[in-house]
Amino acid sequence: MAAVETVGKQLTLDYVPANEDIAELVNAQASLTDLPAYLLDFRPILMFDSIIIAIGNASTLARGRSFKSPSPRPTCVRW
Amino acid sequence: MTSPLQVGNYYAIAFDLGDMLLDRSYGGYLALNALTYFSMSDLNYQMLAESMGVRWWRSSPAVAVFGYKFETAYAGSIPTAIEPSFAHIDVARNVLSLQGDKDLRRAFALMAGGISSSWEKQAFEYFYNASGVSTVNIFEIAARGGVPIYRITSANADKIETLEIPATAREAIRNAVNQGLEVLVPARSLVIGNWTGVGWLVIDPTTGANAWMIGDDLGNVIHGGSGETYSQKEYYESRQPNSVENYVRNYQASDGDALKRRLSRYGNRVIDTSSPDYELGMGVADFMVSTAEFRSNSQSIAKKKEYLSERGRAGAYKKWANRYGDTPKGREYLAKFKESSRAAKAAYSEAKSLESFTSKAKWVKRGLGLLAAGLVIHDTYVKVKKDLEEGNKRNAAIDIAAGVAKIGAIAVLAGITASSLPAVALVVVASYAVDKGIDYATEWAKS
Repeated sequence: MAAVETVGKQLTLDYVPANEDIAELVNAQASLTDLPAYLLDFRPILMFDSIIIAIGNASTLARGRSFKSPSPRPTCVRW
Repeated sequence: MTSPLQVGNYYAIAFDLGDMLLDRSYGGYLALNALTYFSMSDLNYQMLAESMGVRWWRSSPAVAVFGYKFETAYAGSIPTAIEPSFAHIDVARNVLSLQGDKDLRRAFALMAGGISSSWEKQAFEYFYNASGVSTVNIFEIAARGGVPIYRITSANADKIETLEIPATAREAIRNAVNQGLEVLVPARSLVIGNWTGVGWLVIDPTTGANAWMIGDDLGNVIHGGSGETYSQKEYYESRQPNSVENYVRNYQASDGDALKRRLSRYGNRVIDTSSPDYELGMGVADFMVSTAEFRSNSQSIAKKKEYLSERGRAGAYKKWANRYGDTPKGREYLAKFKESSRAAKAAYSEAKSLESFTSKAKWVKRGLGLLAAGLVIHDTYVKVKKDLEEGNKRNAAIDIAAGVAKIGAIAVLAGITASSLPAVALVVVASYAVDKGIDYATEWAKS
């Protein structure tokens, strides 16, 4: 998808439980904070106007990750 | 249905059929935050450009990520617990192309950067009714509080070491200065609401290109702004009414059955969280739950996991059984659903029995071990005393040796892992046999 197609659109990245067991465990709690983070694997889903366009690999909750956005050539001024 | 309109205005029309997707509502809210940030920045650029006689445009899209962060506790590098933290905006890219007088272009670039930084703060004030934090706002607070703001270049780079700021921010500033850029930064970190950190401005002296950065005391460095901690907490907490039912549900997957039974008499009433009785009640309940949690062990946890996965499977089979209805496939899934439900129920009661019995067995074993050791010591003391009164040192030595052997045997037997009451009973019988054996050997040695 060209970067320009995303302008003004709803592009969202959400994390969902990686499998049924984890989803069950998470749903049984009132809040995610009640569970030890290292037991829970989540996978990223990228949505374009609420339609899933990509699913990523699972990793432990609260681990640091980075999102690489499209970066065309810079021109004159950057901040 | 009629809604008032006015000629010349701009409207968005939204429909909600009652089954709003989470991404449409919550994701849409975040996306709206990010788009508003750009809309307002662009509007202000345009007003500024018109007043300065500069033309600006974007030859490539700007990118910003608006999101929520968790505050995470780590054991080494392993995340252990999370707490709702703050909303933030990270402007990954915002590049403008400019046309006009060289000095005016440079001035415009710097002022437009300030406008963006200002909106990185204001976005949180508009959307979350919470104080926002951005570089411009940090400079303003530093200046008002008399905190010096330094201009650092390669000529006075040693100043970087004197700054009282987070290590990650210091590293980022050092890198910028090493690349020949100029940095403006307050002398120390500032506390703004629940946020502690520093903001700094990086300027390319040749082009006027600039970056407005913030870094908090947790080591996060972003190219944007942040909301206060409580803004997200309010969002989460408002979704969780303080009812007994909710409290019980928290512990349902762990060890809360006893607690649930005790609390069920209160029904699902929402309780008054401000009352001192509530505080006391929750304190007692927390203590009970923390005691109960001690009763879990690796076997029971494994069983509980089995229970959860069986329950998950049962749910899926039920769904499929309903979908296929009264067909061979539907009946097959119905049978599987029943089987999984039974297995889940069995695993659950097994997990429960493992928990309670192990805990009882452990304490029974420890208690019996201590009692037996006490009795042996007392018995040995009486025998040795009698031997010495009779002047029979040899028998006293034999009795002492027998006592030591019995204590040793008790220690060895108490160390055996017993996972149920029958196993403990076996250990007790074995202890008794060893005790009698040593008594027999002692009498033989004496004679």
